[in-house]
Amino acid sequence: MMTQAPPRPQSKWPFGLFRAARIAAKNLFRHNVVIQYPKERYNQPKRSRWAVEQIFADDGSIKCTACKICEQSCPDHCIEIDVETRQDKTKFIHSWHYERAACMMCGLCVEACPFGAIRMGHDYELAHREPGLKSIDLLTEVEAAGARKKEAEDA
Amino acid sequence: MALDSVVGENSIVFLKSEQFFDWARGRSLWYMAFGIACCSLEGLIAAAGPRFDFDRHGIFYRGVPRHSDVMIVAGTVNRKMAVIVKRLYEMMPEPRYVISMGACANAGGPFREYPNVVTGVDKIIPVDIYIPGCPPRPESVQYGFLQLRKKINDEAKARLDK
Amino acid sequence: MNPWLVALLRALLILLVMLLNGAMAIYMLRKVLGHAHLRLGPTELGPAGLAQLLADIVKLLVKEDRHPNRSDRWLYIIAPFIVFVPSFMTFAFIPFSNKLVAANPDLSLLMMLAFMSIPPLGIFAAGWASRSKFATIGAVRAVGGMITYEIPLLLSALPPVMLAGSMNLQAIVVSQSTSIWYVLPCLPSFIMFLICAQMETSQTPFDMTEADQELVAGFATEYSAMRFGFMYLAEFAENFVMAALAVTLFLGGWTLPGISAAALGPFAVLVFVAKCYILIFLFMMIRGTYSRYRVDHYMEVGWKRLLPISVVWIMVFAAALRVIAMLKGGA
Repeated sequence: MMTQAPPRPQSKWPFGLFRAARIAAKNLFRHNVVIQYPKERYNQPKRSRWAVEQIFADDGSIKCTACKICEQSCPDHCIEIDVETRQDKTKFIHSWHYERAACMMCGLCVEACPFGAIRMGHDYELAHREPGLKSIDLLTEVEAAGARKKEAEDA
Repeated sequence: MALDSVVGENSIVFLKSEQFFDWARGRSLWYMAFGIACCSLEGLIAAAGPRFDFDRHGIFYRGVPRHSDVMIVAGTVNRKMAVIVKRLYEMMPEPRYVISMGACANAGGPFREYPNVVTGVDKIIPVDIYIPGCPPRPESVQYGFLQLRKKINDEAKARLDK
Repeated sequence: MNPWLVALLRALLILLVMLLNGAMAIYMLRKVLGHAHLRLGPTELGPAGLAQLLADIVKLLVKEDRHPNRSDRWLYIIAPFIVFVPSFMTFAFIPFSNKLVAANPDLSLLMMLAFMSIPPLGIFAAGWASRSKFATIGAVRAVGGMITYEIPLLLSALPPVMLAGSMNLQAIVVSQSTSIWYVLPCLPSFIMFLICAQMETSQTPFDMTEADQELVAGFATEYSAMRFGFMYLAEFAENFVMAALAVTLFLGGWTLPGISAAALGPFAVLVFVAKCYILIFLFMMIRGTYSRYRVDHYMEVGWKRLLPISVVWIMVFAAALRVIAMLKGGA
């Protein structure tokens, strides 16, 4: 239980006014605390969450296997993956559709992805003019990374 | 200030003066904070507070729609609130801009599937800048304002090129 | 020269002074409030944000002017002028230096205080003509407060008149150069004058007229663009007038202790303006420090506390002056 000092009794003299004046005078000589935005940036913590981004390896390949676990785990249904499974069980992603404007950036999709294919970005300068940018395609017309192909390589 | 009725709409005097006026309009945006929900604390109050100062850019808080240029819609818009949003938008004098801030005002946000929520304030009023985030950082909102300033100047330049 | 031309030139010069002062005061307000809140004011435009004011004024000039449909059209248009013109007229009586005073009648203090009681009427007209709930409530509160605090204002301006023996502002300043500044013998009057000045210019802690969170800009709710800019400018002009009156009555006007008027020469204007701006800085610091009074609280303070105190103080002061005169005459 927190113990606090007993409240000061209210006196009939306006001491509060003088205390306020002293605080104001002291504050005049303090340095300002402004982070001047376009010139100085704030160091974000490592785990700060902004829009979802795909992780691309150095040669441009992706890790997404189009398993759709992220689509199922998103509470707002912001992710929509249009994938085509071919005859030889490989998948072809037509579009990895992401409704960025409605995303609440909870990070459940990143936690749920078993292959570590997506991450929460660190870029907070996301304002845009065109309404068309409200929902974007993160991947279009690429081959999904194959989990079976990886097993075949290991074997 | 009906300069275009005096010298004609395509004259260079009017266009250059409009460019100067658009410079002034972009530099002194007074916003009417229409803070409905959580985004208002972050992007309207905190962004104008001591840590991230809006006043450096000339952006100032006026409570009245009649004195303001920009309306920042911050928060989820219900169907009841939609009527009020429309009324306040019409109370603002021209030239007026709207910034839709946060996931709820852009596209309904986490509450998209509720029957009462309007999915995006641009179904009611025309929006100029969308700021994604839940809630956006105060710097995101300042970046949004800088984008708005660029948009105003681009419109002025487009008019000049025409 | 033609006296009409001289009068016109003087009026134009006073208008220029008023506009310059308004610009300076608005810039100063944003910077002072910013630094009091541990942030910066405008910094982006111009060196240290000086051109910000230019952008603001240009924007206000070219904005669309909207008026509510059901408003009282004539009164709506005239009300900003009723607020603006008397504030502008009071600039004429302020003695800026030995020779720089636009109008110097014998009762200039009385005329100045009379002109300063007209703006509340304009504020009420503005609120009434807008025909909206917030505007009317704001106007009624503003007028109530302003007429309440005018009486202690007038009464606290009397002790310097008693000491100087004349109601002419220039004569009061000159008599302060021979004796001490009147702030020392009339200190309670000075404090009361500052409190009433804070109320007359609608600044916190007495800004019920435009309490943003409660009244949505009070009487100016339905005014847009330059009409609003007019009333804004009138408020800062009245700020300067109050500070100038306080400096003239209590702080020695354009004189400095120990230096004669001839030695000061043209620097008297600088001395006067510097003193005024120190007082304006004090007003702004008070504005940024204290919280707002409730309506019934400040009405109570005005009628039940300040008014009796000022009346009693005048009686005590006059009695003391008489006693001192009798002692000097007797001894």
